[in-house]
Amino acid sequence: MRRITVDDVDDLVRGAVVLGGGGGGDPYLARQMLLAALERFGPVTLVDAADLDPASLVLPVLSAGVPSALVEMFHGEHESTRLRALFETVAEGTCSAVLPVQLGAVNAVAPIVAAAQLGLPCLDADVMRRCFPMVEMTLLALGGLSPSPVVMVDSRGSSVVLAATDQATVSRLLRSAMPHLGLVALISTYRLTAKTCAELAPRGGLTGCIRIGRALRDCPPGSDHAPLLELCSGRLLVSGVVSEITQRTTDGFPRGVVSIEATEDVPTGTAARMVRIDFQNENLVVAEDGVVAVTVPDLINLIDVDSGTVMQTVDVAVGQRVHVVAIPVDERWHTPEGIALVGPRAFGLDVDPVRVGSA
Amino acid sequence: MRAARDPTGGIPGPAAVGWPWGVGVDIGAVRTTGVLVDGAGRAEACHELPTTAGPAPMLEQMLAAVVTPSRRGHVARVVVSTSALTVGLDPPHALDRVAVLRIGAPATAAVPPLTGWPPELAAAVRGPVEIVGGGHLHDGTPLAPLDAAAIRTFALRCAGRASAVAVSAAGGYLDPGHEERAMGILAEVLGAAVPVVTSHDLGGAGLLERENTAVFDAALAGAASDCTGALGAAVSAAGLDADLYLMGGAGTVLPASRVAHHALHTVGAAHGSARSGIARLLGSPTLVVVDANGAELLVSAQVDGLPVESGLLTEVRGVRTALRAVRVLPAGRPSGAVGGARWTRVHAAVDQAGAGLGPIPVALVGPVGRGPARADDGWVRHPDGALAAAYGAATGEASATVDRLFWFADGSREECVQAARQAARDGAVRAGADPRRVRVGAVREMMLTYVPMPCVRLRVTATGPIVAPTTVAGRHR
Repeated sequence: MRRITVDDVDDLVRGAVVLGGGGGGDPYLARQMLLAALERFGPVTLVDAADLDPASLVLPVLSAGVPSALVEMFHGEHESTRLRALFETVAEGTCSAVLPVQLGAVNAVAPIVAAAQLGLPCLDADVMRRCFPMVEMTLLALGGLSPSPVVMVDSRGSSVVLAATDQATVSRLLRSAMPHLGLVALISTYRLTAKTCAELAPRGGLTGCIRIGRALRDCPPGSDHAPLLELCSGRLLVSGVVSEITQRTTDGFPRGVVSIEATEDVPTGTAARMVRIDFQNENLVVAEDGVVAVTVPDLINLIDVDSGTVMQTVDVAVGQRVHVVAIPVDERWHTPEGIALVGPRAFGLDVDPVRVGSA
Repeated sequence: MRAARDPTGGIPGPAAVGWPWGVGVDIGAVRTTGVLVDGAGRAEACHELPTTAGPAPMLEQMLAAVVTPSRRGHVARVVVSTSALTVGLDPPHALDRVAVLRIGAPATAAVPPLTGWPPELAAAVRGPVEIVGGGHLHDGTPLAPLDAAAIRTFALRCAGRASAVAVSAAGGYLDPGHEERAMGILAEVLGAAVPVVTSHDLGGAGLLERENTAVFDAALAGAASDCTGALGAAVSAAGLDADLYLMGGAGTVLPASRVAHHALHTVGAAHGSARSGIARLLGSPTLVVVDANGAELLVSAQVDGLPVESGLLTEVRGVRTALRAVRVLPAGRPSGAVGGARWTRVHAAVDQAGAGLGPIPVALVGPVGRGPARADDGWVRHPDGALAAAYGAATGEASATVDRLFWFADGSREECVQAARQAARDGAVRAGADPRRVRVGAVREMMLTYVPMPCVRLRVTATGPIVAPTTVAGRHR
């Protein structure tokens, strides 16, 4: 039986940051949340869906919120209890385990914390395989499940239940509620039994984070990160210096561009390659000298050359030396249905998807 | 020491009207340097001593050396760079026991104060800890009513059990009101002998980071107050009626009374003073600095008078604080071997520090005789480079940085920009800047993710020369 203990905290968070693909929330807060929960409640048991009563429900847990608000008003002690009670009422069932939904620093940790607080096991599984920003961007949705009903609780006693027949409306309702919850909420979404979970949710999400975190530990700063790339079948695309970072808010969502001058391995006398990374919340497209090299749904990360830190894109600074690393994501995202849900055009970028290793 | 350029960035020099003079003293581990500057930043006297005693005796000796009796009346400020206020951070951890009050219930309970602190540090500082109701949301509305009764009960619990109190509120950096009310209650119950350190002006978003900073500051407040008190006494003993300031890592100052409660401000002061000092000596507000003053070479850069930051927050002994870190690259120990392996590392650090800034001067500071022997590297060596830190202190300015979210419900975007500028200006004045000479830098828009509504994160720094005492300014109007 596998358990998450305080000794796993750093590896798990470090690995989850990679799956954040440039987003995923503040790793420091995530680390502190997990450490505090394990210190208070002890180790959390990990289970597979096949080990559970097939008719029982699972409790999907997601921390929704603006990172700048979450670092001020992170969760209290009672949200998970209220969330479970409300979800079980709305879903008309009993939950036997917590299900991670998204993998990134904050949401690899939030379900484990909820499991610790509730005295439930946590599933070693997830339904995005990385971080995506919307609740409809899941393998469950791909499998025909609706995110409705969505249950939201805040720290101060407010709760919201919402449902809609189309996923875009669910997302809009969710976003419209957030400001009234102080921009921080604990959420459950998707009603599914342990049996369905076993069919649709891939195994190994959390232990995968720990393995990635361990591989990162084996990458000395200044190295080319071979252990990480080997474990994840990833590629080091290019290394260079960040020359510019811009962000603008057009359709309500911030859209950003990181410009990198790639000077390494360039013959003297040749101009440096210009690398452009488009991002919104996570990194979406890498282009070198105007040619697209990799896009979402595959994972794109910026790694600080000197410290080996995997960066949240919003924290990148001009003058920073970075590696651009791409890692392939679950095959199901590369189906036509998957691309329709999480490909570049789903993020408003008019480019065809390009997979790691195909350019 | 040669005449130096005007440090006021081109603003008409007030020397002709007898603007007050200042003394800057850098008290290093090995040597102490001091510079007396006139109202236009010209050096009038300087001196160097081996460091053979604590900061107060060294200050007294240096003031006697650089300020002749006839000039005592001119000097209105003394600015000191020292690391003495933070020695308690290292073993044997001479830190006071601190009470920690967090205002943010029912939120924030998932991560109690002092979570993840190294055990020996936590053991040294941990006193009574409480999370009480209150705090503010992103839009400035209260998270919950401030639980004044719980604060009073907590204060009574602290009596005799803590030497200082650290107070942090959720959303405190947006609205200091709850922290200030809590401070009032604590002061009422515990009296003036127990310092209360609030965290609302210690940084931007990040409750845990501000809280950690306040805990360190509170744990160091006893020693810091003793030190600033002794330094103040040294100023008086030297016959000077001058205000005392201390240098910080960004190369800016804080009044001694505030540094007593914010000792972490002084982390990195030596290098910060050297960087801003050489920039002013050369008249180059944008440059790379190679600092050979300490045991290891340190390389950093400045753009338009502001240090280039790393984008990261400073970790103090493994605990994350709210202090924005200047990007300082360590580059090994200097040696005389020309073109040797050690110089590769230094030149790489210089390239990295100046990356993206184009061709800018590279200045070397430190004791004469140390540093690279080759003359063809294009580096600038000011003849007074050995006094850069003291000069940086003497001409040190006060600054404040605002880094916060503005929601368009606050007003139009332009109103948010103006509000950010005003907040930075006010902060610089609180840090000691002359309101008439505060310069507000460019407002930078920082990046946000996962935001469902219009908001913008703005960052702006305001800086200005230290305010002159009104008696002097009034005399020459």
